[in-house]
Amino acid sequence: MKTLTKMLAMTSVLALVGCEGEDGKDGTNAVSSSQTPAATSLTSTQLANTVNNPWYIASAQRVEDAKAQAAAIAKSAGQAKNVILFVGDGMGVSTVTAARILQGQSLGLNGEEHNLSFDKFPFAGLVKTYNVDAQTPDSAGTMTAMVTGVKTDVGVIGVDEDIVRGDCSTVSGNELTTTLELAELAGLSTGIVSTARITHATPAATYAKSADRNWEDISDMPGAAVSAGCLDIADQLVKFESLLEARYPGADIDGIEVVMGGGRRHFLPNDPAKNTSDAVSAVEGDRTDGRDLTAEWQATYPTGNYIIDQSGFNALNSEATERVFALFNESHMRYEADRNKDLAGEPSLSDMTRKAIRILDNNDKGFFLTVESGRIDHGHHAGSAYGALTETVELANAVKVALEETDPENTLIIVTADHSHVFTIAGYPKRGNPILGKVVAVGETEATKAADGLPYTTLGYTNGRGYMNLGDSETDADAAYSNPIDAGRKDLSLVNTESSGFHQEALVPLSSETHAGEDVGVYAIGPGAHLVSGTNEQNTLFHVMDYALNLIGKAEKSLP
Amino acid sequence: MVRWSMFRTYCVAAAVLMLSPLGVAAECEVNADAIGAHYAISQPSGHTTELQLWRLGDRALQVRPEAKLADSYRSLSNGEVRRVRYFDAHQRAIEYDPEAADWSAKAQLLPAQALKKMQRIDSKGSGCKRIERYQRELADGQLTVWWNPALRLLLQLERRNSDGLTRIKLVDLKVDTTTIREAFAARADYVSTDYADIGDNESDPFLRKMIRVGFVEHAH
Repeated sequence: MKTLTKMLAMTSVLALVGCEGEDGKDGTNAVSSSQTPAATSLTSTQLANTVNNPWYIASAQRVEDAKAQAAAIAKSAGQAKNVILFVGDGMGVSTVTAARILQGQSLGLNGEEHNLSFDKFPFAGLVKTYNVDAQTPDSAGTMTAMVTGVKTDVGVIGVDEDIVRGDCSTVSGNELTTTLELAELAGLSTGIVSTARITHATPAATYAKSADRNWEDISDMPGAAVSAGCLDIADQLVKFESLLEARYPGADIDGIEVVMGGGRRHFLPNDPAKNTSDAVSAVEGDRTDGRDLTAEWQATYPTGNYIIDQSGFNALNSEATERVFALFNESHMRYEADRNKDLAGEPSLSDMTRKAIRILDNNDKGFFLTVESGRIDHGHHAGSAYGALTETVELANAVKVALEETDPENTLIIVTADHSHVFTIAGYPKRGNPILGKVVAVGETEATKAADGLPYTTLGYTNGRGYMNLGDSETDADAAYSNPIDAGRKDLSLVNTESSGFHQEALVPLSSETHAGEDVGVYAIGPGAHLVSGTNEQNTLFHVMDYALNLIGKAEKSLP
Repeated sequence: MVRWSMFRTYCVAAAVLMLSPLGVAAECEVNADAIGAHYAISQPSGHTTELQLWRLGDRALQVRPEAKLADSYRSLSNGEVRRVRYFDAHQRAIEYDPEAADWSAKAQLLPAQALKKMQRIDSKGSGCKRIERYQRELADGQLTVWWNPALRLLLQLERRNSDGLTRIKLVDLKVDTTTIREAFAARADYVSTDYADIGDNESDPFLRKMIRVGFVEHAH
């Protein structure tokens, strides 16, 4: 580019010389026989250094690819047979960038030039994540927006902004209809997969209506809400089919085919006799109504498979499985980096995604699947970039599985986040500097010192629990909560900041790092993917999915 | 949780054991896995506090009545320990992920490894009433422990240094299973929250102010 600029500058000079006049006397054509003729175009020789640069060549090809993709866009509604919505909980843009570099470096690259699986999607945009009543949102309001087309308040599930959080009496009449419900009405197969509790905000927003995201089981609800007839989220999951049929009388609904995640405690009674082999609490179940919802689900779906561990997962024959309800942990599933420590073993997000798709695609009408990487958020809350980024890499792996298992001609895949975190990539580290390491400047080998004379890491948090050095053997980001808050600057000179147990410095001390309010990315491939381009309100994503699948149209056709 | 660093003064407090109805047979018939031990902790300043230690199988419970805090622990089959902290003033509980930890430190206050580093000075009695005395010189003083091996029970601990004397003394012992089970069940109805969920619950007044209610404390 510098060469081109020089050439353009030279051209300008030459042109100015020529402006003296045609014969150099009367203001026209000042070119004399002794001067170089004015250049009126750039020759290939002049541009050679630019056009032969690998960066130039690669980006030019990218534009050509984009033009071809734009030309190939399926512009008619309902071109998709399947939709998969991936949600990286808390996966802001800085998280994506850092995870990209981390994965690239793990492959022996510099990292910056690497692409996560969804970085290669042809269409991307930005999403405005605010809730109706909150500048910085939470997962409940944001996921509700994504799957209903309606922005709502923070902390509520599947209901609009007319709700009063915590007031059961305000639910009725304010319920929204979700993509999953429309898919069920339309006769598609449906699935929810999450590494968080399956009753947690993001997965819950696909199937439940609740005045409070924390009403995961009956013991979490105030007595007044129970008396008023509100159902807890776990109850709504196992009763999904009957509840939807009640709202749409005469509709033929067969229930959610794939449910995989954590949160077993919300489905079991608080009776030690009901403990599973995977229990970590003395009394695993939390329910105070004596009900075993896992047993109720099995009674409702006698040909379904209820599983709780890796061996049960491995035994699933996806071609012969009609329905699966998998609760792999008492609470949230383990971090990917920590998964091998689970008592009874649990599958990865990639494994669950593959199994889910292979079960769901047995339906010739197609499917709608939501996959959440629920613990990117938790890693950030604990102030662990290692925790958050290894979860993000696993999400990218799960997206890669989805690409392998589906056809982009008929499957719309959207990857996005519900909100961001106060996570930054800062300083001026040189190309290829370890993303989890300290800043080492271009041309240097020693860490850069801040104004206080101490080194600092590339990654950091604006707020949270701050610095911790728990060592290489610690792979559970939540171990941070057993240690004191230690915000502010520390001497990292002798600290291995790349270890799994290192938690980055934070400026503002808080018991838990917070969400952030800036836009998040959305990446899409398949029919209708072009519609995510631009800066979108988060609830727009519902309409993208509806357009691609013609969900509302198909659902209406199926109603009596 | 009681910290090793809290032990500053000592005195002999095996009287509880000697006066207890426990038998004197060579073998102790009491189930060491079902114990309720009440301790008085006195500081060099003269301040005294109470600590309750309850054990029931693979579970342990440490209660600090003055601080209105309690910590329950459960030993898991993979060697990890799962902790729950109870905030009695708020009837709330915070659940931690299981993690590697020294179970002996949770279940008997004195880590087994710490006892191994001490020198046994003398012993008397047998079975449930056996008392073994251990001692160790520290950089800044001396540590003395009175211990019952059959019950795996700390009877008394004294730490003497320039600050003075810190003492932990067993003042009461419960061995009936009903009382012990009730101690564990007393907090079963508290609303509990996973620590991983704290960040998603900023609207909860209790969780917002956790930093000021003794939540932040080194676990080990």
